[in-house]
Amino acid sequence: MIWVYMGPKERMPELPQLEIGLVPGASRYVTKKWQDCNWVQSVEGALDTAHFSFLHAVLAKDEAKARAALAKAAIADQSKPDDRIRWIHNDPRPKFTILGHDAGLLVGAARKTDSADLYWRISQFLMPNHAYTPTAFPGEIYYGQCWVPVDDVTCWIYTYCWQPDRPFSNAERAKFDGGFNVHAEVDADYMPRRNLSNDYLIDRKVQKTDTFTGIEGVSEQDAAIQDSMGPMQDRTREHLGPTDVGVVEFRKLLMGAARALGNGEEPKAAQTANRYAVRAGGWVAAPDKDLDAVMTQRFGHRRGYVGEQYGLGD
Amino acid sequence: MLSQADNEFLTRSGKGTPMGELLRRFWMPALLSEELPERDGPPKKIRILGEDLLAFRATDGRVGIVEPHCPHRGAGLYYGRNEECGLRCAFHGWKFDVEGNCVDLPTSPPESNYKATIKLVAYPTREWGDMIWVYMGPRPSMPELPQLEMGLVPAAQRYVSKKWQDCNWVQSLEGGIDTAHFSFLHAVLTKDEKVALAIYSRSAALGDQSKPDHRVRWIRNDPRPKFSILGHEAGLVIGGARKTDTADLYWRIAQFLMPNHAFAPAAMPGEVYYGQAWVPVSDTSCWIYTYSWRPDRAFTNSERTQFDGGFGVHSCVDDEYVPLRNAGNDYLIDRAQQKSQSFTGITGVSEQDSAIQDSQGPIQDRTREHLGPTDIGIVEFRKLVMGAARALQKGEAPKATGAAKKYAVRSGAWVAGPDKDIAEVMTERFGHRHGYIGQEYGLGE
Repeated sequence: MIWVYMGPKERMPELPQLEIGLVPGASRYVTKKWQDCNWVQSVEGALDTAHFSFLHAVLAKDEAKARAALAKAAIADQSKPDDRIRWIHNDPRPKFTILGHDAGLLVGAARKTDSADLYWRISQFLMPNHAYTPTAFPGEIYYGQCWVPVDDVTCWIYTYCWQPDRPFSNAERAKFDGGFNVHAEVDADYMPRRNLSNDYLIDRKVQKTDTFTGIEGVSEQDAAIQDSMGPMQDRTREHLGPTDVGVVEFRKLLMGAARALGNGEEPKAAQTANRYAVRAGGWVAAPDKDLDAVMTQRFGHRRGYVGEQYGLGD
Repeated sequence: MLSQADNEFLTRSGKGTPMGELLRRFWMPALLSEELPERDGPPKKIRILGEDLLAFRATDGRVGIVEPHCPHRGAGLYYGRNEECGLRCAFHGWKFDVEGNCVDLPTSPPESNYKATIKLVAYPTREWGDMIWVYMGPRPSMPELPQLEMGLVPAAQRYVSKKWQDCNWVQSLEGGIDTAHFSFLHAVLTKDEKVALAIYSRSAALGDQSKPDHRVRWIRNDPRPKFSILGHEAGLVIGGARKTDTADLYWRIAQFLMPNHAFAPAAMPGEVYYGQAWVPVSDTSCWIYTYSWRPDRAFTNSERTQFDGGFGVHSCVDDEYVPLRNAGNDYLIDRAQQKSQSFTGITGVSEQDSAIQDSQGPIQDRTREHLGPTDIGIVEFRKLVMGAARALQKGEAPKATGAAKKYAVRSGAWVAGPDKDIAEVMTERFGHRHGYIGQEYGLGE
């Protein structure tokens, strides 16, 4: 990616040390997609992981059909139904826990499993406009997105994924090229082929029986719902609930930082470029474990920090 | 001529505008029934009086017309799932019935009463006369459906369609009640009887008839019909009297029905009745619902086929109800034909009307108009609707909303002695001075 800094020269920070830029080129895949709405509602869609029980749900009971629907990776890296999908389907009210850190927020959501254990899906928000998806189990692919406003009613979403352990195979790259998980299927100008102007090619028959939306692709399902809020969501009419606390904390953090900057106080995250070296993902943990403990079990660090593996210090 | 302020007052129909509030006190056609053919079918985006809404037909066949965004986080319900008597948001599964009640809120615990506090804006709907009607005004003031005869006759005796129009609804309606323009806009020039016949059979320029007759000649020969207007509880009777070959007068009498319907003036006894309803989409576009009916018998298949292809007020439209001859293609005007055969060179009465009405601009500038004696129907129409809108601003409900039965009227033509006034002509023609025929349908005298 080519990055630009548009602030006052004397305040220019280090590049955020996202793991995607720390791994070798062969271990990452980067693309982008156009979005026809304000960037904030799109970020909020990513931080709200409760919607996975609906928007990305596969309804088909027929295993071959379900497999086909999941081939575009409805819920995870996996391309076939498994326990996690069932847990997500069965618990539409995950319990959210939010933990702040130097570079952003951990947004954890715990769902019931078949036992007393909880299935945690934990995403990261990184200041001011990155978010990581909450799915990856150890060994699976990590995904992130970065929302860059073009104007107040459109944005580019840079979508990236990486494997800390190994290079991507050509087959994996070909799969991403065709649209997979957060990567949209785009044309030569990075315009999604299923977009606002063609109703995301919604298929109402498929919606009846196979998938919750009848729209193909996780990325496209997200885009449809986010664009459908209007060019700029009218938040004077919203009604938030317990599964929206990630969205609430995100707004507090971002608006607080903007207000502080208005008073001359620099954003803290701009000084902590190394603290962007974090991961997000899924884990199954005992019911008595809090988010700190779950993160430590899953990533060896309460905030998912992995910078020490890249010589960025502890 | 109107002042700029009055022109704005007359033509603006958004929420909170005086005319918009008046329109909202009446039932509006929102869709043809055929546009929501399926129970649990895809929801349909509509815009009406400047409001973006969503229509859906639920499992039980009832139609909901609701605000398009989920109250939770504003997601568009258009992408939602129409299932089990409600529309379910695709984002988090919140579900609403046709009345806007939240009937499922899966992201809140079952014991929470949050669901009871969540309401989607939903307007009352009715399905009647092969149309879906919506009422967008204050609930306590909701009137009965206007008892138009097209909705009272059996379905086999009516035909309903709609067409898109690229201008403000008022100038289009004013075209509908100004029957003087028939001597020009819809005139057939050709002397060749076969060509004239062909033109009439395509477009029914002046009546139900599909061949030239005396009436056509009378209309052509008298471009200055004398107008008489009679008010009644539901609207206005607008009569235009032309000279005939004798001392008798040829009356063509239209009806305006509050706030946005008009009936055509051509039908002699035994002919087809035509009406139109103008429903603002925005201030610069509208849907025109066009309907025709026969009180005495069912339409034949060949009559329906004729309407399908565009006939009378019915336009020749595509699958989206956009006229094939429209502002985008200059109504396929044929200048050679205009020289020798028809006054406009445009095929179709409906299309001739559209062309002239669109050509007045997105909103006609009435500060520059010059009205004359043949425009008094328009003047009286404006007085009535603007007066009703002003009265409503002072808290006075429009009278016509309390007179739903009085919409059961006919309009049409008659030849009468020169000493008869319009009330007498109406009584001769329809048995009632305002053309009321409600007693035939058990609506009382």
